[in-house]
Amino acid sequence: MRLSRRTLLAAGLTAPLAACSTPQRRGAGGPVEITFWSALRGSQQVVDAFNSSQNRIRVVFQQIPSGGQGGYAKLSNAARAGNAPDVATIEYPQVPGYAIDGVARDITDLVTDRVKQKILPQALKLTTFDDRVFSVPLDVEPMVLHYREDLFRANGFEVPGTWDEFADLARAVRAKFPDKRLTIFPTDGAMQFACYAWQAGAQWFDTSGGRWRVSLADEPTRKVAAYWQRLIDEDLVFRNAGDSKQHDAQIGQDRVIVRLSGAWDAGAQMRARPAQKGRWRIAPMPIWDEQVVGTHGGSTFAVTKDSLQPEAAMEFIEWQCTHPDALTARLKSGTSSQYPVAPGLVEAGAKAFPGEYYGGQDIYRLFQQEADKIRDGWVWGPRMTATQKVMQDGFARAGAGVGTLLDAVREAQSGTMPDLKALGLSTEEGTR
Amino acid sequence: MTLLGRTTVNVVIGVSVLYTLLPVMWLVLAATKNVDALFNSDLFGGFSFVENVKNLFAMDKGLYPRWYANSLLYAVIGAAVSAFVSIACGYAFDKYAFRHKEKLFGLVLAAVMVPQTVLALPLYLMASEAGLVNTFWAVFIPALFNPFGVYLGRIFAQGYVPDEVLEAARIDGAGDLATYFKVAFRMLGTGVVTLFLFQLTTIWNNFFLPMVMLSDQLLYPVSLGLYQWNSSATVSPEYYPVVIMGSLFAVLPLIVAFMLLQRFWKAGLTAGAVK
Amino acid sequence: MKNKLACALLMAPFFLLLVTVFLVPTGTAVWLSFFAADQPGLGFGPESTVFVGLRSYGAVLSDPTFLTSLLTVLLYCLIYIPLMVVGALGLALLLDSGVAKLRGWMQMGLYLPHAVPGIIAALIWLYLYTPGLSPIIDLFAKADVEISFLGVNTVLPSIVNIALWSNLGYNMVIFYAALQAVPREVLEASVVDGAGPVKQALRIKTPLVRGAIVTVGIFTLIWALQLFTEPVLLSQSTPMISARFSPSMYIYDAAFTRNNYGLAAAASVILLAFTVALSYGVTRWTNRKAA
Repeated sequence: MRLSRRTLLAAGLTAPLAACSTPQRRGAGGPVEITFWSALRGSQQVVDAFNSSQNRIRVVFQQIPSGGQGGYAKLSNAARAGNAPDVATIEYPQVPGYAIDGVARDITDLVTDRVKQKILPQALKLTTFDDRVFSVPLDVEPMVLHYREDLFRANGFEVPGTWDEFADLARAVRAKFPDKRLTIFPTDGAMQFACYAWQAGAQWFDTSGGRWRVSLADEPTRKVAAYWQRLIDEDLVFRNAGDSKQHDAQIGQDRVIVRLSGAWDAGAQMRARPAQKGRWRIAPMPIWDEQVVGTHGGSTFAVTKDSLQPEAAMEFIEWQCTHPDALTARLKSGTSSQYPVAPGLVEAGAKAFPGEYYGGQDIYRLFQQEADKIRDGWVWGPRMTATQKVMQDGFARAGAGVGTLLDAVREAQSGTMPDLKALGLSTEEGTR
Repeated sequence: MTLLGRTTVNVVIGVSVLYTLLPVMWLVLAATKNVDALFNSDLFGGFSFVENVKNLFAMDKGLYPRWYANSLLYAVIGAAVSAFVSIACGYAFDKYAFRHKEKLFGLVLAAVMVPQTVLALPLYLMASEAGLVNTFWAVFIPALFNPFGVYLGRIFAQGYVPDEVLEAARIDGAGDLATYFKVAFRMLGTGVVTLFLFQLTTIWNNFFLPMVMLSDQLLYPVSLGLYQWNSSATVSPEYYPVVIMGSLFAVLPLIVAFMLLQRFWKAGLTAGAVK
Repeated sequence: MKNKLACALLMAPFFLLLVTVFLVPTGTAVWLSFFAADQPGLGFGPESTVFVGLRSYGAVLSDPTFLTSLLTVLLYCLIYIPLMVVGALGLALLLDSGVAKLRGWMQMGLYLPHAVPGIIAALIWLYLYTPGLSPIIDLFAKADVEISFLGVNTVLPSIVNIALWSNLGYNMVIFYAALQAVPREVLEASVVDGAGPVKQALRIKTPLVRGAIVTVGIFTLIWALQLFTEPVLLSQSTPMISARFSPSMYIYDAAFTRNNYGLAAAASVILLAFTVALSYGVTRWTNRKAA
């Protein structure tokens, strides 16, 4: 009995069963057929537009659940069975994991200079490891501050420019409205927390030395953890799950007046709460001292190891990420405020976004300005989903008053190291 | 015994029975209510039993009947095959003498101890290699294995099939296999039914293995399907009444089987424990 | 009986299963824990299957989340098993005391939850633990008591309760059957010696059903160590149950969410060794006490 991940993956390619599940890749003389999985809204429209724009490649699309809802499990299972789709959608934090597992193919040679010139280099860096490119970003999402302009104006609140001002504002809100809070510290928000740390100069993972140096509790992260811990201890922020009915109610009942999230969330907010039209505005993130931000959210497209048509797959990916028609088609399914990695598409996105919800504010210009401030050098880890989960377990306890945010971060580190070691990676632990 | 003593005994037993029965009663009651009544803890209002049943069968394009059929298929056929296999082996253990018999029997007993979770990953990888992952067989085949059934089978063979009968059959010139199928098997009838019932509940309860093996919703048994619907319910509450009604339907056949076939359960329990 | 071929034929189907779904998988688990598809350096290059010795074991044993899961399940056993054995035995003794009314019905009522599949038992209780749905929480609320069944400290007892509810009647029936098999003369003799009903139950009957107590104890232990269904279901509703709450959940998470087979296999072997050692220990300990 010889079993290893790779032999199993390879077995799938030759197994007759797998062959049946990916029917005729190339009909005699007909177009090349490739499969595409995504949880992103509007993907079907993008695929339809691509299929009708040319007749060499035909994309077959399947809508799958989002990553955390089972989408990643589905992709991993398919890869294990040797029938992953040609093109898969992977969020930034999960790219290194899928690259290490051999699911995302090394596409360095397929990403031409033409593509590289069209997309923001800081985005492509996040999907490049060991000088190899493993996926192509679709959007890059600097974190911004969404705020209730009506409530700010009515109460004479100023938009905070620094984190100190942010904390002062939190106290002011708490003092004035016992049932309101400035914002939430989401106990399921390891990705928000990562973004705060990213902005503060943290380097959770570092591959520069030829090995994975892991320091989740480095000095900048400790600063951020202490900062939010204080807000929690002083009862200045809500501390419950962000992805919950409870939080929906907090926003819906005007009890939360600031939301910190990626640029994409502007569109999501608009769809989820049409009644709050005209009340929200968007501002840059508060800063520590440097004019930098981190990102929150964003998706990339990978060609999988099971693809028999990587060139065709890459052509489709390039079109999706850089062609204006792709963005136009995506926006047909409803508004989206995703910030495209291709600066050439920003214009089209801005034009399609209805301004009234944000009182006519030119939010895309703000996003553009913020995208340029994304701090360079951030690297996601090899088992980010697991790291995130352990951290959130700690956050949930800290939110309930057991342990601190820093404990949660440290637990995440000690719960991640065994994974990396057991995978045989070269590792090194930074400060804890 | 004093009156006080008697009262205490009966009160303690009565309270315990309430503890075991009330949650089931709640399930029955809750199944009759719509979402609003459920969330208002309105004990008797919002009657919508028929509506709930309709919703259950219509939800997600009629997945529930499909899951129910799958569960029946996995459990009924699986339990029948498993009972035959186990009882034959238990019988052979009792009636034949061969070298290392007790050591081999020890191995069978050891298998009872091994947690299912330990075997899950290797079983998954083997099924993956054989192309069986996400198929009926991946859940069906491992569920046939019931080492405890062999143990019970041996006890039943010892108790129900006297050696003299077999000896008489042999003198009549019947072969060993013919004797087993024509004579012994009939005497083991009660045992076979007991093993069938035990394995039926085990397979009906099976949750871990389907969770590991299946990704196609159409192959899910009820247990896994309800688990998935419950996760949807945390986001969309309209799933709650459906999960509750689905649970009620999933419990019913077992409760009925248990009521009707009481003596078989007890036969198994007693044989297993007292010896 | 002598016909070896017949014997082999009768045993073959079962042993075929034993080999394919038990021996080979167990062997594979052990093999996987020593070999891994290795990813040298940063891990982005090609991987190769190599012997890694105890590396996976080292990783598991240095993983605080795994050790916590072991401690959690031990704590669970410490609360659950005594409650279960004492509760089931106590009820069996009461039923056997001769003054209990409606014995048949009571037995059936107590046994009923065992006919409810584990996942559904967990579902029922989850809803009884969920604020808004639960009549129990409402009752407490009416008495101005705020109670949370899924909080930091209450979640483990809540799981114990589900297991207890499911299995109490089942084990009670086993004890009751054992008590019924106690020879009447022994009991009559003790009455003559002046033993009251309580003393008779504790001093005479209980020692006589020791065998059943040990069997129930060990089976309960083996099942308890596999703790999976209840916490997995409850984790959908409370963040206080992590994906690595129990060793079984840790194994599932390592194998199927983290795609780390070496780690999962090593954790499996450790759980197996742990189970065998504990069952063996308990058996030895009770045997010595008997001697």
